[in-house]
Amino acid sequence: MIDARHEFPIAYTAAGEDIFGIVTSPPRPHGIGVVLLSGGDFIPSTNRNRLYVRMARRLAAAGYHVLRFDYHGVGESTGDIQGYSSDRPFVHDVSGAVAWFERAGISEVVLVGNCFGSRTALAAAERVAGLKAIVLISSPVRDFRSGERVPTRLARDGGMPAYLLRGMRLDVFRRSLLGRYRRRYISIIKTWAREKIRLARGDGKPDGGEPQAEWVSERLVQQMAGVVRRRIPTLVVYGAEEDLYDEFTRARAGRLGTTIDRAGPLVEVRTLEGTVHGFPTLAVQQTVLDLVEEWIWRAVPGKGTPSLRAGAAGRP
Amino acid sequence: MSLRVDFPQTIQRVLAGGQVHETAGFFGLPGERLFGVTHLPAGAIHGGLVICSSIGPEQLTSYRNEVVLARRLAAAGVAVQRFHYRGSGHSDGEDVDLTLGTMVEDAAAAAARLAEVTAVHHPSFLGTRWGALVATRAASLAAGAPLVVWEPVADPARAFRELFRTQASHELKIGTPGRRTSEMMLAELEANGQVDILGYALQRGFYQSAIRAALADGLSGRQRLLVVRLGRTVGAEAGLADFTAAAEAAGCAVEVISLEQAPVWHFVDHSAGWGAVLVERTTQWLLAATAAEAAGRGAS
Repeated sequence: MIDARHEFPIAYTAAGEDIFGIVTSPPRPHGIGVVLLSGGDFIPSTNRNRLYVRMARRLAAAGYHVLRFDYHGVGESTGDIQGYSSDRPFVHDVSGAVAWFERAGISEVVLVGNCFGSRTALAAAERVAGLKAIVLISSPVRDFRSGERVPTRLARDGGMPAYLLRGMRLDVFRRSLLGRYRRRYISIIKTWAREKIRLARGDGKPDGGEPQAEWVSERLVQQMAGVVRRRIPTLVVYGAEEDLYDEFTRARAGRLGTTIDRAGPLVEVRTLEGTVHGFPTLAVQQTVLDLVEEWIWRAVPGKGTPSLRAGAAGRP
Repeated sequence: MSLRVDFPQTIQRVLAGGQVHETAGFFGLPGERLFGVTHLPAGAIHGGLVICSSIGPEQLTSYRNEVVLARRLAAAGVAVQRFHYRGSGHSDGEDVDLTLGTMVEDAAAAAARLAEVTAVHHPSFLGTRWGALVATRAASLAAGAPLVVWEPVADPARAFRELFRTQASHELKIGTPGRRTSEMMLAELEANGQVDILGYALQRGFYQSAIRAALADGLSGRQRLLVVRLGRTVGAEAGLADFTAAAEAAGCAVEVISLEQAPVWHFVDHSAGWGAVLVERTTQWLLAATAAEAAGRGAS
């Protein structure tokens, strides 16, 4: 059984901040490192209900070295942040984690991230020469700030005609009879109308003067294309009931879909029941744990190599 | 193949321009190790504090405030010990084994750890939400030491009912099929030994250990006590009034402050730094209480 006996704390410097992390060391290592990236909203590296502690210990039991860390301004790390934006991922924090693994003699790594963490993983991917696989859980496909309301985001894309057409689909119409969906649809339509009125009045940019978000993040599409070009196995996970999946599904009709289709079996999209974003239930946590472990084992089975090099705990 | 551990289980860091020295890592017996961080002043140590966090989603909500408070106090000369209970956070153990009793044991182990590192044998205690029940009991080990509680759970039965109601709202929000009432959740807890509350397993062991616990049970008397209320939780007044009355009856010097800023305890809170005022007021109170405590000990 893997527990704290197999774990040790580390620290490294990234963009001037002192980043704190914990490495889980496998009893039978095979030389592959896994970096776990939490979502935004000041969630430390344990993630909800210790999901990443459990994931680290399970992956270590399967032979992977696993590093979970607190972003700067979060948990035990130093620094200060005022919020999160999916177009400003904390790439330096991830690069530091990967550099720590490299100093320890582990040059092949897998990145696993959820929500903001998945965007950070994707943004960092091009800097990781030894990237062997990447897992993107509930990844936002558009650029937005944490706390921005979903109806605002949906209304801002300007695609109300398409949205109304979608509402005429039988399954969507059925759902619209349910309270929560009905409220959401009405909220989106109201927000869309308010934005149009405000723009018509010349009251400035939508949503209180912030830059207008692009519908699908161009950065995301390019980063995904980069991963596909490098033939990096990628697992994409969503919950069927979450807004992020709605957006991903719509985005697949465009260049993102073309990129994913070009990759063939290298990019695996898995849709789980219910909501995955934020890991809101014990059942979905268990499903994600099983899926991620099984997929990583299949994508990057590892090879026989020695344990971590002593001395890597030092700072750069 | 045997395990090779080449790295120490703690790490030292120097932060805040050299004012704070931190030792972070694991301590305790194999299989029961606690994760903890000891925040030490660079210079003389004028007192100590053990922080007893809450559990479940509340632990994450308050996490950063507790770190910031610890660093502020350490920079001002107070050594602080933080820790994760067994069965939570980075520590060993499973949530099924976590009870109010094990939480108090872990707080005592954290106090012992602080004493081992700093020779502070009568630390103050601070408890957040459910951690307040732990802090009041652990503080009795250091009779007379100052005590701080942040939005304490003064009425556990009411707090559990709130959790069930919050879960019911949560199920409505995420569209869970076959949504449950509070009564159904309680029945599930009794029948299965656990129930899913906001993605955490509320275990029967913890429920039974805490349902009848009174916040005032552990008060040792003649303590300086700071009660911090955050926002206006409707219905919480009665339990808190009972607690402060019991504390005053026991000879405690009680100060209650109410702050407008309140987090959303059970869900992710997007607002950065919601606890800035909380940390500032607590720091000032603890520094004054620690100084008074030291002066009192000197006089006696």
